[in-house]
Amino acid sequence: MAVRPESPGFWEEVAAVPGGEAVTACIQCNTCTSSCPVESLEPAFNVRRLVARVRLGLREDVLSDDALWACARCHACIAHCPKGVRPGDVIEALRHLAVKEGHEGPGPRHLRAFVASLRQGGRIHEARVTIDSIGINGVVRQGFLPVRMAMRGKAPTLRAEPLSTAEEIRLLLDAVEGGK
Amino acid sequence: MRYAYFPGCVAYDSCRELDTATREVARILGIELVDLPEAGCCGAGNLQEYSAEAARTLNARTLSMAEGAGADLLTVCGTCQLYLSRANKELQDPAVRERANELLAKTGRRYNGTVKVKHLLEVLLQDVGPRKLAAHVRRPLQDLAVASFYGCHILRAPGSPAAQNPEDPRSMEELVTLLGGKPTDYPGRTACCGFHILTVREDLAVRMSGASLVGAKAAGAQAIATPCPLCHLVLDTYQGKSSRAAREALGVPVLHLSQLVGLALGADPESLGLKRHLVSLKPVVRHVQAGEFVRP
Repeated sequence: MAVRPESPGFWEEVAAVPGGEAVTACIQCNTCTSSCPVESLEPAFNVRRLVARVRLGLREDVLSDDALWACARCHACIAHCPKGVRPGDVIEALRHLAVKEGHEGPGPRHLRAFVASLRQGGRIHEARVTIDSIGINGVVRQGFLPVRMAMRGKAPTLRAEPLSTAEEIRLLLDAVEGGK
Repeated sequence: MRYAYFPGCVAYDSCRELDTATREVARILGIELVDLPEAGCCGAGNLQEYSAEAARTLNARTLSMAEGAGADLLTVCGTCQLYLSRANKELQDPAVRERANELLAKTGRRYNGTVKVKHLLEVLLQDVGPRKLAAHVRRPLQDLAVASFYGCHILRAPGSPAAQNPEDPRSMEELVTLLGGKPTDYPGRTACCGFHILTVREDLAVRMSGASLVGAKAAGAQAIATPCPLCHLVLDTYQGKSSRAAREALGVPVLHLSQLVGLALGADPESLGLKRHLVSLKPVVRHVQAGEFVRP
């Protein structure tokens, strides 16, 4: 494949995000991918190649890749990397950039739904996050599972009480996002 | 023994049985739990991706509440344990803590870095200790074959004993043995359940958890026990889907750590929320009730 690095400075951008600092220390040894429980099921998600693509400057290719959202955050790669790259944290940094830039897809949608629920109630309201993440169609595709959960008294609460201090959470989130 | 208790969002919501079982275990062992009704979410990795600093600041807020109560923080979730202890480790750096405190000042709070974050597994084995725990066993598990499922995050949490040997942890097995059960060795003890991609790639998550369920069943496990409610959600609630993906009948009961301990300590099964599972726990309860001591 001919590689055209449209953003040669991409690695610097990633290294400036918390978690991405050590991205240049990678020696492409493949220890991360070998310890990854997702890669054997979904070869499109390959941690070593992801790091290589960052360093090749394939900015849009990486940030718009749905496979970026297949990482299950098991952190096995972080534990095993012999160079301290913390590949799982590099993925955290890449997802941060992808969401900040308004990329769409099931992954960014779930992340936004999660943060919206946290912002509103201070804690996560599972039913709302699920519906906002997978949509009503996604819930319908769950078939009888929600019914079976409800029969066991295991359905998430439909109306969650927000923390009485949820305003503090919003204040802190806004303060961080506002930069100061 | 006194802890600031942080159940985590899922134990407040779909896994409420974990919260009730934990309170029951604490009551039996004489552990005082101080509630933190205003503590928020740990971020679970999502908030960390959205904004690392926001996640650290919200966790500093929770830690400041435990500090205010004069107690260490007790978690019952692998993911809460990972992200709270990671934040706590970062906040040991005075400059990082100062920055968090500048933000927290807007809410009238402050964190001085004095709290330890402990998972129930660590509290049971180290603070309560094997001797006292064993002395409280009223319903030994009768060699129940229990397959431990650690979950990734308790194995990666800085300072957690289970993280000292993440490739071959033994703390869950040690606990199972203390309670009179028989630890089942199987590939998958330290595997990933896939919870964190459940809403994005359910197909992968159910195959990942399915592999561990198949492994535990093949090794003869009568139940799986897990110290993480997120693993529990995938292993129990989604077991039907895992079974279809693996093309194997499963039916493996999955216990929260607190429920396993509560059963062995003689708690009323009703008080442990054992009916709030999708895979029935009746065979497990029947098995252990056969060996129950009659209380004097």
